[in-house]
Amino acid sequence: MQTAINRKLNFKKNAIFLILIPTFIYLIIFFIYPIYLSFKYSFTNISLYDISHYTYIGFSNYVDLFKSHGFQNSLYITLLFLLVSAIFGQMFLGSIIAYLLTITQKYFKLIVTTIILIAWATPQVTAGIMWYSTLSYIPTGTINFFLSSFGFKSINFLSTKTAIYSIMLANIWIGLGFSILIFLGGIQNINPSIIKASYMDGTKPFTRFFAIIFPLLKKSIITDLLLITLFTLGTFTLIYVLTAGGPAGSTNLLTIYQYHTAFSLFSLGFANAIGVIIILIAIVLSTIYLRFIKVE
Amino acid sequence: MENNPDIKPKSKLLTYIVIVIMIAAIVGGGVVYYYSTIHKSSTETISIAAPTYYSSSSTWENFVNNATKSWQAAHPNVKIKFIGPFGASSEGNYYTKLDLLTSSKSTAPSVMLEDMFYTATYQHEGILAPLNSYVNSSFFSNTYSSALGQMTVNGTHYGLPATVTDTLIYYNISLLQKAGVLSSGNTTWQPTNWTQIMNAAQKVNSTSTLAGVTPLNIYEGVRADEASSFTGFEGLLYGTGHGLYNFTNHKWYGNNPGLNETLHFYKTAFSKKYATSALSSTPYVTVGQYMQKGKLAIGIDGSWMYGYQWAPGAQNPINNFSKYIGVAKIPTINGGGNGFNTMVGGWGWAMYNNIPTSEKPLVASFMMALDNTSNQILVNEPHNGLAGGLPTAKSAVNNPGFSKLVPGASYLDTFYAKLLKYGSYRPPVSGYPTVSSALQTAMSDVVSGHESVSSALSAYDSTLVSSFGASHVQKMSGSSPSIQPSPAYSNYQSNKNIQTFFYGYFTDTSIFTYNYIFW
Repeated sequence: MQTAINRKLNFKKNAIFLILIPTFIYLIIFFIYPIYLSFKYSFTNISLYDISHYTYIGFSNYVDLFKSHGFQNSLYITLLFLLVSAIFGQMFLGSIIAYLLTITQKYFKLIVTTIILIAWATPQVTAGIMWYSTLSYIPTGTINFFLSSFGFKSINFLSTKTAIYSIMLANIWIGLGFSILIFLGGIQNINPSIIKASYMDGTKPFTRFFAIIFPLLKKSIITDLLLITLFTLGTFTLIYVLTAGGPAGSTNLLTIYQYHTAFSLFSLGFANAIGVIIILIAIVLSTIYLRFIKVE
Repeated sequence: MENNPDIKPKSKLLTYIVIVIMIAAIVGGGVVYYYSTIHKSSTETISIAAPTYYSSSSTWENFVNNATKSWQAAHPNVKIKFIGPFGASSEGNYYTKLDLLTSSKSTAPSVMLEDMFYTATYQHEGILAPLNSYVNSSFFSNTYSSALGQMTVNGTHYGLPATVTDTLIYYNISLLQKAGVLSSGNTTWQPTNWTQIMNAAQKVNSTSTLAGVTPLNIYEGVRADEASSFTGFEGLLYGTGHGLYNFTNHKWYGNNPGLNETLHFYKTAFSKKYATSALSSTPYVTVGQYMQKGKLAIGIDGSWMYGYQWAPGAQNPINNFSKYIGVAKIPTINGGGNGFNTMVGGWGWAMYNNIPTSEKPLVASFMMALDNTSNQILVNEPHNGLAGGLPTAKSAVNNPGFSKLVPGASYLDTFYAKLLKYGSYRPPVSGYPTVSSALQTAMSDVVSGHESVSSALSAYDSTLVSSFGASHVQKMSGSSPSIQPSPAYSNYQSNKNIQTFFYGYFTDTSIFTYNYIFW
């Protein structure tokens, strides 16, 4: 009898494996193989001018990349963009707004959450065009229209010095809804008696959030950090529409630099090397998050 | 079940039916294939492809039929078929679909319209048929060389140019009068060297009543894309006597005095606030409106601005155009050489290479009819497929229909066409897109002040070397332009006495020249 049950269980296990085979094949063809190709081509001089002829050049692409001022600039901009717009802008701001929403009125919470989620659901191209028409200096954008209407001097929000802040703002705007959603779920899972106890103790809201609630949101923090880091490292459409990496490379994120290298300079070998570096950055940052924020 | 005698006959019958259907399908398919491809009917078909994202397919069909009515009457056995590609919503989309069509003999068009810019790439891929043997030499000799050259690779013609655009200077007459560049009542301004452009921009900039006016626009940077390279940079570069590519040794210039001088022009224009990146990276529509509204004094732009933007029926028409907007040729750096330069681009008809050789003379004859002088005017008229362009035939200026394509004022009637004799064009070499992109980066870096001219050129050279290999890139040192210098410049070259030279120059220009020469 026991043997029969075991056999049945084994069959079920094997059946599940069989059912998963198509998924594995799909993963291998559409994920593993392209990543393998990306690694492979990053060691070649393959060019869009003639993709059928290329030679292996070892680590030359990587060496040249790290020597390149353009790449160094792009790497710096990407990490700064990640730190400010994702970690501070989306995660910290998202957690604070989520907390404020939990203590506010029900209807107000509904309205604010809906508005923020609409931003998150907006297609990136639409958001890019919208932000461009808001911030544009020439032709006059919405903000500058109001500034000049009230007699103030117009501001070039997309100049060499200011464009990086503008794209950070746009990225915070579009990604905030996702973080809020994660933290709203996290806050609801906190034992209400802990929060009640803090009220009994007379803890101030600021202290209550940073000393009690925020440390209890570890799971939400790690989930949010991982996901927004991956999203932000892969950001392309919004920024490409808004600034196309300019002016003068001041918003040239690694993804835009990679696109430009592949489809303007036609250097697929270099572009794949940049892609590999982006993947490595994502892996390293994910490992760091998991190491430093231990989830019980 | 297996022993049931009733089942077997039924399944056999089904098998027979399936076999019969399969055989019928195979035989039928073979017959259809034979008659559609292998067995030639007595009717020849010439298929035509043209971009339908700007003009509808019916516009193209009507044009092709009207333009070749008499040719079709003389060739009753030839069927003319417009094949799109339909649903191509952008230029990039058009070329993607054209690439797919030309990847097979069975789908490739006999004749296709292409941006001349792609001639070298398509020729390199073996898609285009050489036309020298099929087209009369008189046809080529009646075409402006600045247009024909773009569809010519190593002396072989791979297309018949249908439309050209050139680059020039537009200026707001009223603003230049207020700045004192033009005397009151005078509407004609023609700078004869770069210094005079800078002088005019400086005067606009320093006129207190013109605060808020952008003195000069010249496209730059990655965002403006080819407008930066072609309309902006190269219009000046080719006026230095240098270019991007050495046709003798087939190498790209990683550096040459012309590149250096042109980047310095950009550096001065932007660092002195005569030009601004906020405007120079916007599309021509915005720039056109700025000039129209009196917010921009001088703009280096394309001839298409009139047809698209300001002509009657265009986006923002200007009545009495020549009363408000003036046009001028782009001078060479010091007025030497031909004195002026313009960058010429455009579209032309090309023949698919893999059609049977016996059919090529017929297709070439059709192409000549399609691209004769009258039809070149017709296709460039407003609301037609290539509206806003100019015909490439030298004889077009004498055609009564030509006046529909240009502003009404008499001096403007032939201005755009006459510019063509100063024409330069992008190197018809497949590596150009990479070079263009590297140029845009160099412009951005210099204009923003991120890099000096020398370091931007050094980065430009590195990009070219990494893209094409060091053996395909040439560096030319020196700083004196190789173009035939004007007398003032000769004076500088021969005397080498800077004091004497500037004393002479001062009498002719303003103090700004001093700064400009001393970058």
